[in-house]
Amino acid sequence: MLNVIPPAFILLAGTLLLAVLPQRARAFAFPVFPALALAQLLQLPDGVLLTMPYAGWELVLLDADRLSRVFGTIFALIAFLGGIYGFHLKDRGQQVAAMLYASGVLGVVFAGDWFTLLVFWEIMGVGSLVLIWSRRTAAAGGAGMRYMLVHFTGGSLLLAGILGKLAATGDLSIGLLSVDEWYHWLMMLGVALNAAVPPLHPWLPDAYPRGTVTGSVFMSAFTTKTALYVLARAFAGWDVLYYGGIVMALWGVTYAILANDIRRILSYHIVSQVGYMVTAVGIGTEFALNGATAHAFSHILYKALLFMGTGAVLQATGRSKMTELGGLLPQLKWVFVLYMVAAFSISGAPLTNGFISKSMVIAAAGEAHHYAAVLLLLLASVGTFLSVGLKLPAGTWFGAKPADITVQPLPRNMYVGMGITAFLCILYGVWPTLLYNQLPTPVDYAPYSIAHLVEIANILVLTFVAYWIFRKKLAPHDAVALDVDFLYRKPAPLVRTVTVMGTNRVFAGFERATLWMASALAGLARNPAPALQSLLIGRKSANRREYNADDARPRLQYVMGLVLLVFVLGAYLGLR
Amino acid sequence: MEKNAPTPQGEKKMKQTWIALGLVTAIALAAQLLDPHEPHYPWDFVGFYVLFGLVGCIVLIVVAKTWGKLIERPTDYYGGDDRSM
Repeated sequence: MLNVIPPAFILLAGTLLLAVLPQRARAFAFPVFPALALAQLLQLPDGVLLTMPYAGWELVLLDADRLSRVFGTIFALIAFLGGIYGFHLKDRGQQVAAMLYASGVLGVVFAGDWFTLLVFWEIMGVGSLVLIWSRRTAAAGGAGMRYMLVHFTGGSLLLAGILGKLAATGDLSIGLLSVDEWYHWLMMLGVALNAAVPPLHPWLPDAYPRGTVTGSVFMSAFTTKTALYVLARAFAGWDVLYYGGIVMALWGVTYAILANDIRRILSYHIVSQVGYMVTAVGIGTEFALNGATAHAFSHILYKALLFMGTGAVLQATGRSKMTELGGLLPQLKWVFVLYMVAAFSISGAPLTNGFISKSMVIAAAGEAHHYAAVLLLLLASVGTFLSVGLKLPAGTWFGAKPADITVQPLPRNMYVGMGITAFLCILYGVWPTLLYNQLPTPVDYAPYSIAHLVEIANILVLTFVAYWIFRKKLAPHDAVALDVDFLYRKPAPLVRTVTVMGTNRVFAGFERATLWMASALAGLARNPAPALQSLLIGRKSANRREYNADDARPRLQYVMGLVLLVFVLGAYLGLR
Repeated sequence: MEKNAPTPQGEKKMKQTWIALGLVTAIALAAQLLDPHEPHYPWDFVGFYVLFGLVGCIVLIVVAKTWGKLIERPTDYYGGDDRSM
């Protein structure tokens, strides 16, 4: 009986309950549901466990295997940790939205057919959108609107592909898709948009820095990695993903160097890190897919921790731009320490979970003889440590402190949430088999080799050296770095003028014409005299407001004269 | 960041940091020299990653900053949306 309850339904129940619970109870209830979902999904056996007939199809609501279980585990875990980090929240909308978002994620992971997947896919979009808008700033409003439009487009691409597949094959089941069918490409594009593969990525660094403190923690963990899961399941071995992933890894790193907002730096490093996973999916070997899965698992932990740390800075100071931050070490020392655990993890330093997973992806590329990928991904690692490990903490916790900055004390639960996440980053780093045993296929890989330790030690130290040389050149400044979203954000006013304003003007013109005609007719019906007068005696005089008898007199003279003439003529002719 | 002038303690700490980093690099190079493993990659020679880390990082900084010169705009470029986060 327990085996047929989809974990997503547990979180959906939580969503409904959070919507009605009073404020005090909501904070306690939030982490309970992800914990229950985690316990539930860990004991699910392999195979199709729950189906539902719908419009002639058998929808598969629950289909578990090793891949879905490991992704489900980390998603439920991070929802739980996010609940602790956000324990102080009083905003019902955010709590409900976050739980709905998480239920969408688990729904996608355990969906056994494309239709079920699409439904949960859209639920994710709605939940995350509310987390952006909950920030309640003008910038968040605009970014949320763009996020919505972009994700609707992505969802539509996915739907169009699914319908194409359905029409051609009549089959909705999720499995590996071939590159030969056009509708598979539409599906891939829809999923790649959520995975933030360039040029479909700019929604991410646009929206994530604008989300709420807690909301961005959830977003950093959920959307891209859910898409990665779908890529791994259905699009493994697609060459376009291999190349796209490498572009992602370097694109994110380059833009992060230019970014000023600390959460935007991290957002670009989501693009970069997911690039490693997408490359691995594109390689498509068993080892590479294990690497992608392991790296997604690690990435979710350290990236959530990075967003927790920068979110804590934002919560305490109300600021997130490096040009307005600095010298916070005395007040936010523990935030710095916990942040650095995550920063070393994302940089792949030994004893952290980044070390044991990123190296798997790179080793998988090497094993498949993709040497260019090995070097380019290592180069992305250099950029990661440069921005996330050096530049961001230097600009936030070190240097001169702005005179006008005030630091509010942080809720203790934020430290607890960060502490547990940091503990897990280190736990998996020193005990990799804990993660390797959960991966889809058996792993024969030892990350702690001398060659690998030498490699990462050299790279990290020399990155620091280069940073030190160029530290003044790298000083943050406030600017907009144009990304691909330039293509739809800059012409937006023009498009708006043509489509919205233009249409408005046409409609307004017709409306004015109609009203004018109606009022003219109404006037005519009420008092036809002026109109008749204007017909009879000329427009000019009829338009006068007051009736002036003298106006008619000249013309009347002729009429009267004519009448008199007729009389005179008649009299003369009659008398004759 | 060099927002404030370096203090004597800061300079001492920096010196210690450089010594520590130098030691790490030296140990790593020694380990690479003594490690009897089969070469994995065509570039498997001692000191490659020292070169790679330094040159790679400088290349990234130069490329990003050059790219930035081309594509950076004032913060009100999108109609003021980016001034407040």
